[in-house]
This record gives sequence, structure tokens and C-alpha cells, in this order.
Amino acid sequence: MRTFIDHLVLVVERDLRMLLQYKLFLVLRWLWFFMQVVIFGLAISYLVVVSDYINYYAAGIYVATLYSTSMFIAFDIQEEAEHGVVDYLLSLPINRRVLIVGRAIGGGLRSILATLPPLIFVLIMIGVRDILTLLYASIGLLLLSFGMAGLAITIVSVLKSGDKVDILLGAIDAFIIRLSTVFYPRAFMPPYYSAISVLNPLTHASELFRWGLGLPSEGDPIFSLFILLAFMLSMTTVGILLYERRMEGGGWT
Amino acid sequence: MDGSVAVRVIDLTKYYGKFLAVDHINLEIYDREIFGFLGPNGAGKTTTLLMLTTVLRPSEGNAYIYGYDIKGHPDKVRQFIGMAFQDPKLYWIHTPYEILLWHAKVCGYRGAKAKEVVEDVLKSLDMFEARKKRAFELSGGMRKRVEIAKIFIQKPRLAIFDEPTTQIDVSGKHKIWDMIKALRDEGSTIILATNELYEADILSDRVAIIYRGRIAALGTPRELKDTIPGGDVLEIEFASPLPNSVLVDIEAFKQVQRVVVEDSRLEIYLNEVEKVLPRVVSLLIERGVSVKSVHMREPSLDDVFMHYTGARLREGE
Repeated sequence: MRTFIDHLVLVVERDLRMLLQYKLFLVLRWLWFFMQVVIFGLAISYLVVVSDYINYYAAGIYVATLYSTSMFIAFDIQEEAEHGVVDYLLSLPINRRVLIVGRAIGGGLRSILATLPPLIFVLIMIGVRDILTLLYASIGLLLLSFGMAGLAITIVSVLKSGDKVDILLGAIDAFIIRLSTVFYPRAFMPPYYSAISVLNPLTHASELFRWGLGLPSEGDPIFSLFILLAFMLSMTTVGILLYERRMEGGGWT
Repeated sequence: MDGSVAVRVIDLTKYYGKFLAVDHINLEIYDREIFGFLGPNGAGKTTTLLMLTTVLRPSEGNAYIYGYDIKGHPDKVRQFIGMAFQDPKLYWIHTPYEILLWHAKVCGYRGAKAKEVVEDVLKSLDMFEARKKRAFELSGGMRKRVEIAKIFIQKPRLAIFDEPTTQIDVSGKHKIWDMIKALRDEGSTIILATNELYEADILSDRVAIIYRGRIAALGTPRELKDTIPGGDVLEIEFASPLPNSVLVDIEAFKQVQRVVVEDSRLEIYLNEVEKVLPRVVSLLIERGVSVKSVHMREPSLDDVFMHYTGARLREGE
């Protein structure tokens, strides 16, 4: 008889293995990242007044890449649903909470793995000044990716429609990146944008990562980590509750 | 089949919006029996099975799987259940081997044993050569075999097959039927949903005829056939004259509904033909009638379906 932990590991393993199926997608994504940093980032750094903007930009765009990769699990779940795989998963002798927590962890972990080459690139480019602060910041990145995977699962569980998921994720993407400090510091935002950006987990992840890299940062690392932890816990909890409500005995269709 | 109840279904009902898909079904399925759900597409078979599997929540009523109710203890229920879905549930980028190995691990196999059991089942279902193809590269029949293979790996206490042999070739069907029987012999209770008459007839210990969300009839295939008045037909050709007294005596059997004599041929419409046949033949021989040939014809489950629903199963109407 398998235990909860065994099943959790199997669910996580399944999502991690899924990553191996997207080799071309990953390579293209990494290519896009390098191009974005070495061409766009470099060019834009000559235009802006912020000193060392290329490093600021590289750290920010890594967080943005991590975010969008974490959200990608929504498309996997949506596609699985269209192939009827969700019904199969729901019929298995796996506790439904274990299933969703496992998928959130799997989605988060695979995002970290999928963005490992860009992360290494950024670390080499900027350099590591203090390994402990970097490790501390990395916890924040993990929390962000688990929380985003939980948010993605929540969205796809509620909408149950590929088109609607596409539209909503596109809309979220447009706002969450632009209303954060991924690309520009809060000091350069209009006050109302700045106020909103404080609530944005991407802001806290970006600032925490910059702090971990020894770059100038606008946030308090402890507060940022707390916000990211709260974001992860709330997204996973909401995901579990909605998933259970919508899926437990409700099926996909 | 040992007579203890594996599944007890009480007023199980499912609405999709205002559409009533399953209408207050009540039945019991015994441990280690093969229980068939026979009905056309859209009759409510799959919806019923999805409720038993806890994938769908009943709108009303409940069901108990080995004592655990599907609403209150879905996790417990799923410990007993394995379901092979009507449409194979395979993610297009995965290979049969990956799909089944993961399934085996979820069902409790570990390490080398998991690989061994997956390879054995793949070989049994003539799938071993195709084990590394991706799901989207497989034919419909092959995809169906992967879906069914999950259950033969899992060997659940309650195995549910939803139209297990659609898209499968004839030799494959026979192999799967043998494997389903073997699974029952190893201790599993089987629920088989099908719209194939022959499959339901040869596999099922008991059959529930389901139509428009309701159980129209339930019994062994033999019992169901016997419920059609005069459903069996006994055709006897004779070479010598037939005395009237013989006809009177034949009509006196309680199972006989109608007797028709045409030239040198006697047609007897009756029930329980296997009981009556030896008595009729003895009677004819005793009265000196020379019998040339005897032909026995049973009603099919399609006749049973027609009798209870007024529709032909083949047409689904």
C-alpha cells in the first residue's frame, strides 16, 4: 500500500518527467532569454538613467521567465483535461489533496529546473557575492514558482476552458509583469502603479533575487520572503479548495 | 461469486443541468461476479460508472463499495476501484510504457517488480513492440489496449471496464474477454458496461439492461431471456404423421406458449427450452413419431432489450 508521501512523490515525478517532453520548447525559451538579455537588455541599458541597468534587467527578466514557466502547468492540465486524463487522475487511489499539492510542487520544481540555464547565465553574468544571501533569495524564487503553479491550477480548475484560460493568463501576464519591479524600479512608477506593485509577488521575488545577487534592491528581504510564503500558501490552499469543489465528484466536464 | 455484496447502489441519480442522465438506480453487485451494464450509447452507463468511481458526484442517492459510501469516503472507495475508460485517457506525448509504469507505481508496485508487471501485461496484450511509441502514434485499438492494460496491472478488487473491446479486432476481443474472466477468477469483481450483445451474453454472470437512465431489467442472461413469453423456439421436422393427441400433450407443458404445425414441421414457442426439449422428444418417440431433425433457437439479449424497452439495442433507439 502506497503512503501519502509515496503518492506525492509520484505526482511530482510525473510533472517533472513531463518537462523532458518539451525539449525544443525549453531550448527556444532559453534562446529567447539570452537574446532578450544580450540584445534588448544591453541596448536598453544605454537608454536608461539607472546605473548597471543590464544587471537589474537580467535579474528581473529571470523572475519573469520563472513566473511564465510556472504558469505553463495550466496549459498542461488544460490539455490533459481535453484528453480526458484529468478524469483518469481523479479515479486513481490518490487523495485529491495530495494530487493538487503534488501538482503545485511538481509545477514549481520543474519551473526551477526549466529555468536553470538562464539562472546560471545570470549568476555568471552578475556574479555571486554571498552564497547565503543567494540561497535565501532562492527560497523566495521557489515559493514564487510553487505559488504561481498553484495559481495556474486554480485558474484552470475554475475555468475548465482552453480559450478562457488562454485569455485570462494573457491578461494576468500583461498586468502582473508590468505592475511589478521586473523591468523598472518603483521610484520610476506613478504613485498608484507603485502602490499596486507592492502587492505583486513578482515585485518581491525580483527585489529578493536582486538582493541575493548583491544588486541594489528596494525591498526588505524578510518582508518579501514573508509575502512570497503567504502567496504560496494562499494560492495552494485556494487551489486545493477550488480543485476539490470543482473536481471532487464534479468531473472535468 | 460468493453472494456477499460488493456494490450496493441506492437511488443513484445524476442530473446534467435539467437533463436526467441516471434515474434512481437501485442494484446490488455480488463479490467476484461479472456484472454487465447493457444499453445503447447515452443510456447512462458511463455516468453511473463515473459516479461509482467518485469522478462524478451523484445528484441524489448513494452507493456503497465494499461498505464505503462514494459521497462520504471517496478516498477509501478509490482504494478498491480501477476503471478502464471508454475513451482511452492517455496524454498524447507519453508512451504506453511510461503511462503504465507510472500507473503501476501508483497502484503499489515498486522498482523492478513494477517494470516486470508492466512488461508482462504489455506482452499479454500484444503491445510490447509498441511500448515506446507516443500515444498519438498509436491506432485506436492500440490506445484502447493501453487503457485496459491499466486494470490488468492494477488488479483492483472492483474492476470497471467501460466498453472494453470497442475498436479491438476479433482475436484481441477474445484475448481480453479471457483476461477479464481470469481477473475475476483471481478475486476481482467486474463491472462491464457494453453495448455489444455478444460480449454481455458470454461474459456476464448477471446483466442490467439500462435505458434512458433506468434499469429496465436485471438478471442472468438466461433469466432475462426466459422472461420473454415464448421467447425460445423449438423447431422439429418429422417424417411420419403427427397425431393430434401429441399436440395437445405438448401444449399442456406450462412452459409452452404456442404450437404451430406446418406440413412436416412443428414450431413450439416456449420458455426454458433446455428443460422441455428432452420431454418433447421423448413424447414424440413414445408416440411413434419419426423425428428427422431438432433445432433450438434462443432469444438474444437484443430480443430481451426489445421486450423491455420497445427499442432495438442495435439501433440504439
